[in-house]
Amino acid sequence: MNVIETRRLEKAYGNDETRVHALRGIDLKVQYGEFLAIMGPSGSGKSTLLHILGGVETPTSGHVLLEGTDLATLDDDERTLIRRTRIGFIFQSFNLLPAFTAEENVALPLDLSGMSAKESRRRALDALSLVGIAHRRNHVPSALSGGEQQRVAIARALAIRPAILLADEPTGNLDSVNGQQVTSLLRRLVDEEKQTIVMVTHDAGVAAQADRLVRLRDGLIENDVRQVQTRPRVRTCLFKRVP
Amino acid sequence: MVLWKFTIREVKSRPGRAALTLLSIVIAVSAVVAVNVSSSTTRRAYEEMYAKLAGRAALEVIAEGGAAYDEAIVPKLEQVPGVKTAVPIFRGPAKLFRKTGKLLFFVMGIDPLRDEAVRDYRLVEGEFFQDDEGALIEAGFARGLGISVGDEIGLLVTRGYTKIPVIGFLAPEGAAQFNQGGTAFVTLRAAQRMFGKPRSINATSLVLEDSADPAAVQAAIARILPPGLTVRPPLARAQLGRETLQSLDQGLGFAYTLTLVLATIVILNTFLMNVGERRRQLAILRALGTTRRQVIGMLLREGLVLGIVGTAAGIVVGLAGAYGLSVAMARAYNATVNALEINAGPFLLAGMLGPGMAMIAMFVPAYLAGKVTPLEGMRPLVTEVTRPASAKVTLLGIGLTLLTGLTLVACVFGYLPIEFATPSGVAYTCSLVLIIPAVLAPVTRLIAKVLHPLLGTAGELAQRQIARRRTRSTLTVGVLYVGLSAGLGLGTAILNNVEDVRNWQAKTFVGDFFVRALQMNLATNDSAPMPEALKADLAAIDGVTSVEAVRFLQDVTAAGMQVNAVLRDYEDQDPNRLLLDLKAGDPGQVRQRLLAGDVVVGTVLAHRAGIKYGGEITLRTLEGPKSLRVAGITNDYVSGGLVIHLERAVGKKLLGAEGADIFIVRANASALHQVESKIKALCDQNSLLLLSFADLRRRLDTLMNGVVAGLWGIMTLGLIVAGFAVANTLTMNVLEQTREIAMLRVVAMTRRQVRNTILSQAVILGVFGVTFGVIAGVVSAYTTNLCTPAVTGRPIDFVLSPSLLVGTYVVALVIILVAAWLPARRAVRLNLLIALQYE
Repeated sequence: MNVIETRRLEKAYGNDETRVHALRGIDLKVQYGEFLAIMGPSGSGKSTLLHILGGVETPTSGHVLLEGTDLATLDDDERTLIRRTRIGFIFQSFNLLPAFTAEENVALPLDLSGMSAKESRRRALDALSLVGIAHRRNHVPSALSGGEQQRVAIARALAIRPAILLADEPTGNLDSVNGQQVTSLLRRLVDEEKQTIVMVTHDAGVAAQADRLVRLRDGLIENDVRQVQTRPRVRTCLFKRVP
Repeated sequence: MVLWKFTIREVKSRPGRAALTLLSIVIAVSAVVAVNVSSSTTRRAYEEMYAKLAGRAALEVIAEGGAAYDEAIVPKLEQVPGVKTAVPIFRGPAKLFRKTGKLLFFVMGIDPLRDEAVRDYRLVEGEFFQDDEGALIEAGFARGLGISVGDEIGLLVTRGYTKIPVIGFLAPEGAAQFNQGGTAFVTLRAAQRMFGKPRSINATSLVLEDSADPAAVQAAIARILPPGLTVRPPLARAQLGRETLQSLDQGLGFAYTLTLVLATIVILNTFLMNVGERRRQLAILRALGTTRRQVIGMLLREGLVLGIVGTAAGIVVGLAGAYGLSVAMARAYNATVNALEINAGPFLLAGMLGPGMAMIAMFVPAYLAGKVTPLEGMRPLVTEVTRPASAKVTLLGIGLTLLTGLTLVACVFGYLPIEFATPSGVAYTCSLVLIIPAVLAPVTRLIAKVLHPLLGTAGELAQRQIARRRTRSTLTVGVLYVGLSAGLGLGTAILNNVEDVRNWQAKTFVGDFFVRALQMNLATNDSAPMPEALKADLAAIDGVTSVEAVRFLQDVTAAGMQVNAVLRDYEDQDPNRLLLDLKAGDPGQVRQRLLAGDVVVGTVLAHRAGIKYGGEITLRTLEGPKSLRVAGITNDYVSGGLVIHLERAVGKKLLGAEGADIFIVRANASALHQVESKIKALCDQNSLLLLSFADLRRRLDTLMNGVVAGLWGIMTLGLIVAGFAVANTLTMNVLEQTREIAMLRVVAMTRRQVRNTILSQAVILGVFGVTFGVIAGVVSAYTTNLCTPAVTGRPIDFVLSPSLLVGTYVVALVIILVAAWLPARRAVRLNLLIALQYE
């Protein structure tokens, strides 16, 4: 079953002479439990596609069906509510709130949903444990390394138990070791938690961890291949889970 | 809850910014509270002074000019339906002699059997009246002077010196509190004897039946009164003081209205910066599922909380300020301030204004923040120069400016009520701010070009940064402009008023020496009068060329209004120099006509009563209403301009005024020293006060200098607040330019050049705002001057003080440069490697 599906998706910016067609008709289906990587040269439309999938931007034409609901037909408030409950975002620059601790950052979308403080803290802790960083829950972002911050961001995205995780260059600001750890974490989430992930990346090594690779060029899908995992998946737990 | 947590953490992380916002609210709210509370306190203290004396009397019968009249009228008054009791009194000023000096005192002659129907007395020591001998004094006042029951006190009244035993002390309540306890209560007969007025009284207090209609009773009594007597509510006496307070209220009201406007602009500027700095974080919240409404609501709540906290602090500061203002005003009017007159009004006003101001100021930033999509918020800031200035805002600004400007013109020329002038003026000032965004770029380019020899390339870079941040730059220029415009407008008006007072005094009280009893009681305009015979004694001194007697009378009714009368010996003045600040009438002709029995009317009285030069005015005299010709109209600061001038002999005949309050002595220039010593000896002998012209001038100068000093203090405070706004703007500019500055430093720019760029921003913003403000301030001052006659009835010469203009300009620019110093230092100290990575 498809968790998200696009039909003849188009996105253009500007008008007349300065009009830029970022997406020229994308038809894409993502199934539950699938790990999809999107690659392409600069300007190919990959980030635009991710933003439209996440309801942060609206298409010029076409449809975006998230669990059967067409995001393109919803107003801003409705899309916001869907982001709050069904879509988890991971950004290249982490985008944590500097004045909040790790635990508070993770609990933020739950608090916004009106969940009780006790419940939101419990789920936040679970999410932090899942990513192996519960022991740093009381630290503010400035006291965390880049890798740790990204793991907090992943925990925040997971805390709402989203239908889909959207990751925009999640390893772009990390060194190779941290990048590998984060990629492995994402892989594990898919394998063990059956999380659906769509990830934009320019790193072929990171993209290799995905089940499927979609290449974009000039706003169109150039290539859509299922990847055979030739390297052993890293199943070793690289970080401790705190009970 | 999480959004509250976000707000609190953000406010805590920027304590300086929050402090500036709170400071703006505190200043505005405290100004409102201080002015309102002090005005009502002073007004109340002033009225209470008379209320204590009036007691339960609903009406009183007096003679014009406060003259004495036959007590035989009293039984007739008691026959009038509705009158319960008619209680006669005889009240007069006196001087109390003590070892330590002399004091202005009052003697109140009462009917002991009947007076308690009107006034309360509580004896704390001694005994009440057994016969016509003895006096009762307020206990605290007596003990302060070392007077005990049984002591004799010496009193000088018009008839001469007399000694009287103190038979008892009264509690400090009711009538005993009049003149701060400085009143001796004697029997009516004793007072009549002391003042040489047998069977005479000068006021009858009337207590009415509970069911009586005061207006109907007043009308009935007026029908039976002989000519020269009038009936009115007792507190009408306080009317003159209220007039003076009212004009002060108007001035202060204008000042605090503009303070509110200034504070709102400062808060708006600060909130825009707050929200701008949190742009990325707000975008994260939006991405995570915070709706637009939640973001707007969160920001508005932040404004509300800051508004409430600032209001609470502002009320406390305002009450302290109110106490200080009340004490100063009460001292000036010789009233007593025991406690502040606190009612709900000022607090309700503050409670609405403080949070209201903050919410209004936060509305625009909140609305703009809500419009930003998550993606926009996470991108580097788009500079405003890519979008032109909003045509709607500019057109609105132009439209409002024209509308409010036309309204002001209409008020000046009398087509609209003058009450519209102040709100129109404030709206006009604010509407011009809306035009600033449209002219910001070209004007700052022009300034940078003109100042290029001074600023160089730094100026060009600075101008571009200013133009890129249109909204922030507009608000900063707006703060400078509003603050300076208001300050200069008000300041020039005050200085012109001060100069007018000085000129008036120089024209009207001209003499070498001034002889009077002790200081006039400013509240009651009473002073102990001096005997007529003293004039001849002064004139007999070698070297004296003329002696002019002046008598001040209150309780005079002219043109249906309560006014003061000034009676002078115009025949004893230099015939070539009439001592009046005439605004209409030829001095030579006016003098002749005064001697012939005509009158000169004050400008305010003429304005209120619609009296023209050459017209007539009805004066209530001892012989009934008399129509007198108006020989001239004069500027006058006695009783706020509600005054009528008569030749003293004429006044004596019409109003029964005797004695003199001041003798103005003129002497040969070569004999001044000898004359002074002889006058001094005469004064010592008669326990009088001698002032030279220089003394008089010095006292006035002290008072006026105090007003001017207060003015400079207020303007400096306003400039400092504006300086904070400039500092804020530049700090934000530096933050946003961090990467750009780092790049420039790496490529070519020295630290000094970076500092100069930031300082150049301050100079350009400052020159724009200050120039705009000074020009607007001059226009505002001129407009205020044009409106003054319509408001106060008093035309004032418009004089622009070059020193005020230049001084304001220089001080403002200095404050702005000082404010720019820290942001410039911050820019200079950027760590280049970190700054290059800054987003």
